Amino acid sequence: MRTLLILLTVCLQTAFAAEPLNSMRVHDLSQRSESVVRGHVLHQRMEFDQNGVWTVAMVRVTETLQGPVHPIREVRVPGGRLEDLEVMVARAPKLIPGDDVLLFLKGDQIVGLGEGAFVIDQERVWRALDAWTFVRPTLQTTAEGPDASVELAKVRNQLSGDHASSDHPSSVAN
Amino acid sequence: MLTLCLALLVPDASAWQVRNNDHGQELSWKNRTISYQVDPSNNQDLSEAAVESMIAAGTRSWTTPVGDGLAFVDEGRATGRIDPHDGVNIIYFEDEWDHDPALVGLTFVWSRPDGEIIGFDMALNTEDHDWAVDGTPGHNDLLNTLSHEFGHAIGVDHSPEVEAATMYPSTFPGELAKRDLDSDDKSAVQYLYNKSSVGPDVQAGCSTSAAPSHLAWLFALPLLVRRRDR
Repeated sequence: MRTLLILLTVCLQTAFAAEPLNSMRVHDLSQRSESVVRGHVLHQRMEFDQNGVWTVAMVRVTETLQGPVHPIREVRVPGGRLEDLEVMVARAPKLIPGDDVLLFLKGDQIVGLGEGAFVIDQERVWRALDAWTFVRPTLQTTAEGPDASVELAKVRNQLSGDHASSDHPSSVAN
Repeated sequence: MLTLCLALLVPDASAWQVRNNDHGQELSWKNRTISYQVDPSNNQDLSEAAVESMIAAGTRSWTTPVGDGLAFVDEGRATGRIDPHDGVNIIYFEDEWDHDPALVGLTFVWSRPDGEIIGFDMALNTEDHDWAVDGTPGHNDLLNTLSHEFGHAIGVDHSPEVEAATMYPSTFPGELAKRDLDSDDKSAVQYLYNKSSVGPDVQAGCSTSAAPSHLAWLFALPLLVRRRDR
């Protein structure tokens, strides 16, 4: 019986083992990014060139946590919809108009595709259960365990701490 | 007793996953004979014969587990790029990479609202990564990457919890492990293209939108524990 209880405890712990946006991840993503911004996804459009189909999302920046300050960012994500065809690229996040997002950016692209895209809900930063796909917290596949999201304030504080010991500019609220 | 408890407790902790479109439809080819063409230019002077051989091996990785349920046909050379309207499923080397430089390859998969895949285009990043076909240390192995990208081309998504899987979402220079499919990958292709060979639990458990397979989750347990210990 005791063994069973131990096993059940392990099960309960690992059931919530989604990869969190922990301090190491924030640091890694920050190092790979030119800018880190929080913003609202306003709308999106499709572009098509020989490098692929792109969803270009217009994001109104509400806070710049790293990098130069711009009130509006255009963010390009591979994949999207072209006429009646859906164009899918693994790990590419979906930037949904109306969402409050945290984006780690290099140029106009998200670092590591879905690695650097998060949604903010109630001042918490959310990742998907599979740690790669960008999923709104209201969707079924989103992790709901305590490790699945982190307070935005903690991310902000860590980025500020990282910047204090590097050449990055300080966090700037737009 | 233990199985019953696990059945009651475990949430969705997926291993292999198939890709769903925005309409919730699983992606797969209805036409089970998939053609492709290759543009071998910009390939960092790899032998074209070796490139073709690696591509063929990459396709075999996915067709072998399902017998005649899936086939690839090499239709020779082409010079196109990513284009959903050209009717060509092209595999090419890109030396002017316009995506995140950390990515070694990208596969665009074209599908209809009902989930039918009608095409793919596969780009390999030769601007930011060194490539080899013989396992040269420090180089990105072509077959290692092709095997992964062909998984996407047939509708298989990443398998983020199974590090041994070909569809595990990251790699490193010199890695060869993804050349050969893991049992996790084989379950995915068998589910998509040889559905009669897998049981209903497995079918339900590995769709991104379905309930979990309790047995699959039990197998994944050691990996999850190890991840938490890092």
